[in-house]
Amino acid sequence: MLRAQQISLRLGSKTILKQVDFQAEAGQITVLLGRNGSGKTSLLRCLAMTQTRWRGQVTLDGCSLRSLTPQERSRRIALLPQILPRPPITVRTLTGYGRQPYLGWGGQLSAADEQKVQRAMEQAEIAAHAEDLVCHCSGGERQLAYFAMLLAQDTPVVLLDEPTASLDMEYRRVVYALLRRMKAEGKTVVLILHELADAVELADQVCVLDQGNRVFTGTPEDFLISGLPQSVFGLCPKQVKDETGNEFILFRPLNQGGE
Amino acid sequence: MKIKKKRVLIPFLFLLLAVLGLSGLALGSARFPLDEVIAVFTDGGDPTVRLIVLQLRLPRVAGAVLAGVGLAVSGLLLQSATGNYLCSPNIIGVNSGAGFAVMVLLCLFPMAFAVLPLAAFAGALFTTFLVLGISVSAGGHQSKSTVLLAGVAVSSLLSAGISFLSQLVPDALASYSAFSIGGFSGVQGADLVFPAIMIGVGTGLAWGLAPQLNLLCLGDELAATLGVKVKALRVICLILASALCAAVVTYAGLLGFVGLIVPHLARKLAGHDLRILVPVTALLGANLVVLSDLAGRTLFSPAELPAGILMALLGAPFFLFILFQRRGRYA
Repeated sequence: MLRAQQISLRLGSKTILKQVDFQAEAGQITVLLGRNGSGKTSLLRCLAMTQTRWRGQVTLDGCSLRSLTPQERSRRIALLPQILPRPPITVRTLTGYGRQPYLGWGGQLSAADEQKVQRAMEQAEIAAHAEDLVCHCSGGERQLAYFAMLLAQDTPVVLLDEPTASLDMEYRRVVYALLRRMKAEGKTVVLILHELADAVELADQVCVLDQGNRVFTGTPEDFLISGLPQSVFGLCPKQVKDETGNEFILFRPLNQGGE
Repeated sequence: MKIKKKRVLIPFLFLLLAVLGLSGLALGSARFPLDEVIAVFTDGGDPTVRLIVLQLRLPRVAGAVLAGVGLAVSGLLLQSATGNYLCSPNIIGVNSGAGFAVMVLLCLFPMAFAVLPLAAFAGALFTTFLVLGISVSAGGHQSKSTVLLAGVAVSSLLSAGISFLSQLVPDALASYSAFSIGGFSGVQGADLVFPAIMIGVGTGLAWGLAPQLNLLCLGDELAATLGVKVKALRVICLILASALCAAVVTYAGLLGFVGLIVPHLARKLAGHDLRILVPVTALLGANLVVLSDLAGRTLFSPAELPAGILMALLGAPFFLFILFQRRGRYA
């Protein structure tokens, strides 16, 4: 279990996080929701220990992350930031970087590592572009290449900051399938999403931040009846059926026919 | 290109260096046939040839090899650590620091030529620590870009200091100008012992850090989640780069542009993997500086052009070429 207690963060004169408590279970997908500037990315960075100057404690299965070396942490927690660089290296090389925490002096991949890299690229459906340069990949291909790196890193906790931002439906489908696969493998998956409909469909647990405060933690069903979609996001959820009888949740702006 | 194929470059560059090195021993104001030069190393050869080759030309060629390795690897480390391919040792103040220290020494002790290398080394290292200190206290987590800004500011200040001192003590200017051009004329074997150790160890360490440095191209945050101590790595690289460059400055003066040009050429040949790029850059640097020195003393023979002038003549247009090639990326 990934657990954060009393996380506080100030940047300059601005308070970003106010004593936030958070926990995410193994084998579950936890979605962080909130408006822009609510502190989601900062919380994710605190969980990954890439944010500096925060107060509080983060533990993984009872072990404080502060007590671990960077290499030990990198074998337990992987982070996919929202903005992904475009390095002039191949997709295969990028995926291989995911094995870095397990390599010794010299950074040479073993035959077993090479196999894991190949498998990760196949799982992320990017193996066909293995020898392409990341800087020449499309936005969707680049996202999948970094997903392959994440899979190669093979950590029990995976943190993702808006992994579907600017992706079309086809690439989103692939990304969501990968997240469900990670969940099935027993990994703790925490991600930030802005699409509420996708969040309630994907999540086992929803956590809502508002102005640096945690205002809700619970199941997607409880979130829908909590009143937060209306009060925090200005959206009204509505259950609808398509022509094949499948039910899904639609969110409409309150001033455009929402109640 | 796969890394195994790129490794072919290393023996090729070694071979090229051997050819250039032998040419450097054979050519000059007096030209010797290659078999006479080789005979010096096998059965002693002609005493005059032996004297010129071993006492004058071998230290010069060895100095050029070491300078090429040290400056090129220094530039590669700086460019990789800052993520800025226009960065080179003189940007972080190594050259101006060494130059200022030498100028101060010449003003205070005009005859103290023996300790000039030591002053240059101390000045270069001190300036790097100053730049580093300023960037860390001013830049916080963004010290990657502030290190460049601090370097430019400190370099400008020290350059102004050099100009100021040259106005106050015009006699010191003549000695300083030979130092500032850079070259290998008059280098002796004993001058190279300390730099050779420094450059050997520094290049080895740079090669050892290559797998970690590779990850910096993913940005600080991703590199950190892959286990890299980003800030510590960056500081180590800056100190290592400065020490490598300072070791060269002690006997070759201020050779410009090697640290800028060579890493770019090496990337064109070997790609971006630093595990292969470090040895390729080192060898390419050695080849380029040996070639510049050789060209400088043979093209206009009997007159001699210091290698520093040739490097600057090549380097300045190359710098502009990079700027034009990368226009728009630094907007």
